[in-house]
Amino acid sequence: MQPRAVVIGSLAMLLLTDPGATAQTPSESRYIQILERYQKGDDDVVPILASLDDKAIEAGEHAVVKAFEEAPIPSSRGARLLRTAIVAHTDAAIRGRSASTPIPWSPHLSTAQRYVERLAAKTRDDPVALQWWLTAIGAMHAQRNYAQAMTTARRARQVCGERPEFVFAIGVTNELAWVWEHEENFHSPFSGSLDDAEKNYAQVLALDPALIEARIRLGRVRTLRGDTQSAARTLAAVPDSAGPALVYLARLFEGDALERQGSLAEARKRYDAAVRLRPQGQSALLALAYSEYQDGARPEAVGHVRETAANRIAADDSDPWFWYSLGLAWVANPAFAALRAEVRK
Amino acid sequence: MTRTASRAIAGVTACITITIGITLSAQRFTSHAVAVRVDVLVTDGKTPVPGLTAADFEVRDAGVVQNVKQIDIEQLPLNLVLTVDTSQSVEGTRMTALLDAARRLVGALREPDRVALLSFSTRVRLLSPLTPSRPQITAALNQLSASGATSLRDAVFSALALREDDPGRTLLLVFSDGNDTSSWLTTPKVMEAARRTDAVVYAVGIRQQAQFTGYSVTPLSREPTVVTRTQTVEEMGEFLRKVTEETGGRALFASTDADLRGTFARTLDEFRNRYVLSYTPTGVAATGWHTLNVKLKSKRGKVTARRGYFADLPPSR
Repeated sequence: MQPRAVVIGSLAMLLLTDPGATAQTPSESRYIQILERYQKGDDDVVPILASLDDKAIEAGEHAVVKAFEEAPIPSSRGARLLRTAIVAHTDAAIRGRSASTPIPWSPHLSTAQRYVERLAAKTRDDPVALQWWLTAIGAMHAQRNYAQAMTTARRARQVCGERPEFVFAIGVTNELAWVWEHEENFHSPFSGSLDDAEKNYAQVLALDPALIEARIRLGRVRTLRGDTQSAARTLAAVPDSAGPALVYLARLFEGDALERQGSLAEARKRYDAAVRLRPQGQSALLALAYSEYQDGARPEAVGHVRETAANRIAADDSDPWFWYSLGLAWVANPAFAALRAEVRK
Repeated sequence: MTRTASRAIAGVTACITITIGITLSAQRFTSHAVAVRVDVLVTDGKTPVPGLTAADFEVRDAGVVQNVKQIDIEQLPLNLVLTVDTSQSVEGTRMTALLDAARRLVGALREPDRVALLSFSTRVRLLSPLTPSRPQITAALNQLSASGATSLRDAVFSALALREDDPGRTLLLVFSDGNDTSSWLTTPKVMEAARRTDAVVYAVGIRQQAQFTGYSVTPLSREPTVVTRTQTVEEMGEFLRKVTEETGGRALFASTDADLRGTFARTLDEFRNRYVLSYTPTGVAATGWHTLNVKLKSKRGKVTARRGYFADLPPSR
């Protein structure tokens, strides 16, 4: 009979593809097939995964975890399936996020996190697990969901240890949440702390002194706290070898610290230096223009406003300030692309 | 006029029309030194009150009553600086409605009036400087497309700075449907710049409610709680409300995208029904912040005018 032949055929297939596996339920089998297709580069399965109900996901998760626990070495089929599940569920969460939904933390991200924690429990330094935390925190920063970002960053530190990138993520979340609450007047469940951010960045630098962005953020946070002299010293110490984007930020922030001290002429020198590094940097040109405008030098101010506003082709990322103000959001997309590439190797 | 005097002119805020012979070392304005112009709106409910004269107003500069004259508004050309939000959220029908509203607004201007177009998303772009040419503005409007974040404060500062010193009245009309997400300049800084210009800022937003739905979950639980937040764009426009109040303008909100056309038209209509008062300050300090207080002597109506102006020292360099 035809139906019986199909069932026998499916069972035979399962036994052939995974000789060591015990029989799977149809739900488990379907879930595994989705992951295998995703692993092979088939993105069409993402909406299918996204449409699965909780029961189907629970069944699938059970099968993947079982396969992983049976052979938790990185090269095993179980480990590969588990890593694929992390990325596929993250993909489903990201795609499911609509423009009007500011909270990206969907059940799919939650599922992905459970897999990440399983993986990290066996291998703390697994690159997929490490990269995933930063991707998820970045996605939350993009949505200004700082409360969830902080919960996630703290959990990352708890699960994977005191790594500089996670302490850095906590610092950035503290800084951005504070700015959002105090400078943009948006109230959220987590309002951040500049004191904590300063401690976080200092700790990052103790763990990894080469992390220049932490030094720049430390200087910025000191300015926001009103400690402009210490801020200016911290920012002045950023070496030119850090590259034009980071040095641009250091000069821009140093100018701001000096301006707040009332040293307008010195501030303008720093803004000028930033403009020389990134001639399309809107933030430094407007900082310069504002300082001139307030000092009554209207023609110079107008000249600098025109210089930036007349530029119709400059891309958003030509100004490092834009990615700085987004925190880890700027790295979320490339980090996720790297995750996809990793599980599809 | 000497170079020093010219610098002094540049130093005094744009809201003061300078004549000659200003003595900046003096602690008080000497007579005939400067003329201050104040753009005033009088409303009864939502309707502008017509037919008032200078005699109906009392203007206090730093608490001192001044002798005011009225300038015939018909004699003053209008400089409209159209500053429009083209961030991602404007994409689609909102952009179509915005373009329609802007084209009709430009079409309603009079011949000597000039228009500039500034767009902003993550970046601020000057698509046309002030021009009397309608085809040039139409071509600039046709370039608008939506993408990116919202550098609202950077755009408002840019528009204020680009205001030209000429005898016309400057209306800075800002359209935005959301909150700032990427500006370098802070609210206090832009407010400070707004105090140094005579441009009147009108803001147009969308009042419709935006509903955000998402999930709030404990990381290790599989049971999400659906969280729905409702926020009106009107609530989000705090910066715009502040800057309009500071410059004596108003924030108007369209109920829907389709209502944008009517709201833009109402802005222009209201601007044309304002009064321009002028006086030569007497008995007040020559420099620094001057608080302005404008009220009606006896007639009824709500008076809206800028809160004050800066008289600057010349540049320090």
